[in-house]
Amino acid sequence: MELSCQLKPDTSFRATGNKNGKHIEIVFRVWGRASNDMGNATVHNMRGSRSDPSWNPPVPVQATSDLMSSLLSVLLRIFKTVVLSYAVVATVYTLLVPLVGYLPLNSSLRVGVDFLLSPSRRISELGSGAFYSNVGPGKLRWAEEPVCWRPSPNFFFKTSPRMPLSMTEELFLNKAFSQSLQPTNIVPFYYRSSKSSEKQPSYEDISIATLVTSSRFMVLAKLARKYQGTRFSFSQPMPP
Amino acid sequence: MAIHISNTPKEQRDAVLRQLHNLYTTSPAMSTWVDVHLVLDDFDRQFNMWRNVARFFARTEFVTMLDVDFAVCTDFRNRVLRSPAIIDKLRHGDAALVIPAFEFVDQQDGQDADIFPMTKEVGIDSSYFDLLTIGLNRS
Repeated sequence: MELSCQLKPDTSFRATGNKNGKHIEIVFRVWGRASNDMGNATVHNMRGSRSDPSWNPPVPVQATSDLMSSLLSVLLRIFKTVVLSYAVVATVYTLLVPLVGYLPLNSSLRVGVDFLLSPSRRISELGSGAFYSNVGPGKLRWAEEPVCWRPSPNFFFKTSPRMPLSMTEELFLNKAFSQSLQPTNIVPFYYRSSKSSEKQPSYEDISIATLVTSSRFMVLAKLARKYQGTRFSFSQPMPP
Repeated sequence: MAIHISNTPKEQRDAVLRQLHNLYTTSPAMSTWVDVHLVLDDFDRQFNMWRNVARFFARTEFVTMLDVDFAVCTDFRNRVLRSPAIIDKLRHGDAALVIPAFEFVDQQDGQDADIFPMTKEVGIDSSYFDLLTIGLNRS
């Protein structure tokens, strides 16, 4: 933009206009001593003034630097938001850890999300309300299968939380049997009965728990044949 | 059911596991009704821990602790489940039932579990057995 006009010294005028949808306002001040001097424009903008008489207003450059600064402020705002949300998440996490004792991490988080998406996918029951939640066959190492369980009601949660917590089988068993002599390897459901796996977890029934040495295996088979869960019949009627 | 198998020596461990596999696969009652949990370590006589493993993984609400050599002669399971008085106590969570056990006065009488008496009257009147928990000496 070029400007050529004659004005009295030490006076100023204002020019406004729109360029590329941006509102631009330039204040011109005449710089001179004699009344015949051709006025050199000095540009003022919002950020200050330049007093160099030979300086011409670089309007397009000014617009670019405006763009740069607005971009910078947007980036700053994004950065602020990120920092703020990190602080919020960190605070909530720190508050929740003593409340629930354990929060899902790494692959366990995936399991938790997986469970939320499809609550009916309870793969195999573990007893005591816990269950395995398979994320896919062949992907996991030994004892890394995720186990989901509901914590007991505690001081903060009068009822058991709806969403089960999940962790690896190894950690779960270590916690459950932490009072036992270590190291020990527990393999839950080394064999799983075909009949009782059809039933719901923790259904109201009575199991027999027993200890057996390898020399008494045949006695165990006999006991299993005798008791047989629901199909236990007698020749004599039972007293009511 | 929890089975403890000593980790060492390895040959013995593998032999017991093979034995267990044979038992489980050849006995239909086992594969139909019995869950097996393994405890593999080097510690003997951790009875409470083994019981806790069996109890912890039991998939039913209630668990009976039973010596494997006991013969279940009566249908105590249905007796408990169908009695509102008993099952309510159990549901309440602070009651445990003690099931009386009997043993034969003469060990030779107890060879065949299929002909065991099913009522206390029949057993005690005919001097077949005594209350194991009392250890009454009738002779």
